[in-house]
Amino acid sequence: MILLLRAVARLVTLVLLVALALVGLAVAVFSIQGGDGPLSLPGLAEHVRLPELEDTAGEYLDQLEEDGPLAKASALAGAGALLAGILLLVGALAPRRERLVVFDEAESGRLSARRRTLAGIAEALAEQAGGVTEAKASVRPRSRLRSGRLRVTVSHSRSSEQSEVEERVSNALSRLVDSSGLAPRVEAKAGKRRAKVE
Amino acid sequence: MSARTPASQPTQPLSAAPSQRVQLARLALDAALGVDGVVSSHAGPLGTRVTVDRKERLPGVLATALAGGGYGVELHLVTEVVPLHPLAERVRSRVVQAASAVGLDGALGPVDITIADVVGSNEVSEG
Repeated sequence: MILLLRAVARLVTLVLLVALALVGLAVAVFSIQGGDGPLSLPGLAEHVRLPELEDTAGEYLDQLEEDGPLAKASALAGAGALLAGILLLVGALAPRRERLVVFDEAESGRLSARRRTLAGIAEALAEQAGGVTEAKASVRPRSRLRSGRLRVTVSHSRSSEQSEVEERVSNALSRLVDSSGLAPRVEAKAGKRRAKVE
Repeated sequence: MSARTPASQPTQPLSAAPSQRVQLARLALDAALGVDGVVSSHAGPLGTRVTVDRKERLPGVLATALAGGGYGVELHLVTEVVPLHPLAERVRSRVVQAASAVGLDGALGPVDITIADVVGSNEVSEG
């Protein structure tokens, strides 16, 4: 998803920059003459039909003030534009390098892993703990401001105690947690009535 | 004045031989794939983690020139569910051995290992 947003943001940036350059070029060319000459700014306004555009926009704004389908369509279009803007911002500002969880860093090299990979390992380990019917894990790598965190949510059978399951899952994750330096957070909740331990 | 190649130097054109960077990348990848527990290399979600030679692409390995000389090697690996620290040590050791065997140990810098994915033993046997 982020990759797609990033690609769209780059394309939109390119199109906008080209459009901006063309507008700047047109304004520069039409600033050669003053007054009402053919290469003047009023001449440019005539070429792009600004007076007609002003009339059209005026009519549209008049209709927008009244209740009706146009007002609803405009509100929807505005909300869509807002959403598109937010998505483009996400695409433009999302970090380019994938954030990895670093296990070990020395002169001989660094050992790291992708977040999704570690979450998969944590889920597999958690599901081996007794009483667990399902596990979901998410990993937040260490940053300058925050320590890394491994959050694991498990569902357990109704015959198991929540605190016992949490302890068993924490034990199952202990080696992964020790080697990765991630702070674990395990939450257990009773699963659905027919959920069974696989 | 014409440029001449001294007789003592090899007359093989430069374009024919792979660069030291590509040699290091290839030997590091081959060494890593020979280690038990390593399933394959991974070129990344966009396929950009590759070393490109003239005739071939080496997925999942990057050799980058270092400021102080030599090349740092980055390996992106898919592994089995095994303890990762010992696995990384085995991979590094094999890469260093392979580089020493062809006289490139002086050019080898740090070997960074990224676990790109982990597969179960069933997936390995099925694949």
